[in-house]
Amino acid sequence: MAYCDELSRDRVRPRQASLRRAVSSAYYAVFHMLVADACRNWKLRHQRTVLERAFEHGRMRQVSDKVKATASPDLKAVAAGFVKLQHLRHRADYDNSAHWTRSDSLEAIKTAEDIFETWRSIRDQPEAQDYLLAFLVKDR
Amino acid sequence: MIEVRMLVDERKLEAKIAKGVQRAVKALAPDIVRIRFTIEEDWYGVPCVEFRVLMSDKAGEVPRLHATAKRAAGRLTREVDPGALGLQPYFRYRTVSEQKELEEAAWE
Repeated sequence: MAYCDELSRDRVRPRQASLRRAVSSAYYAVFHMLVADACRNWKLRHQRTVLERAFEHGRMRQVSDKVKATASPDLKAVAAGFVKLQHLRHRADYDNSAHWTRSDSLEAIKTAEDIFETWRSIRDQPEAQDYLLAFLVKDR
Repeated sequence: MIEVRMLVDERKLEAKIAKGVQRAVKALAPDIVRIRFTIEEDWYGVPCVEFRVLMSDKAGEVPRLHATAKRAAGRLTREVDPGALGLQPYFRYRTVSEQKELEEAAWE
């Protein structure tokens, strides 16, 4: 989250590329945190990097949508924040017509920071662990 | 006929959202100057509404930015209730000065 300090300090107007990268990085920080936590449950350490490749953005979105409707407030906040960041990341990475501002990027980074903080407090709870498992195991 | 009905439904939806937005702007003034919105589908194909929230420069200063954004999103969610309309809400933020530099029509 070093981007946050950089963007806050920067008195010159940041470049569009930097603002887009900040939004994209905020999303990927959350994505990788969730994936890493899910893979921590896999006993064989050397297989974890292979397992990490099985996580799909679309599936994680689907699971987060589902969780937003049923989970505890903290997990709902994590899932809702994830969906929001994923949307912003898509805009930042693929929509060249969208212009970005420091406010927009800082707000995305703050969303990621909030997710990190909330997740730390619930990560070991059964529903949080079920959330992680659902990223990999499809409904029947 | 179906296309006409869809157009009417979309107009009704827009009008409904516009009323909620109007109420939110009134409640959030002077921190929030105006709010524009677009109904579309997000990258995942889910119908969504993206709100473009224009803040005063003071409300958008770094120590206040997050509180302002949170308050605006909360108020908009209450006034518009996008979930009840079947829409996933998203929020974008910028200050008056930032918009002045970019001069983006969608934010005017």
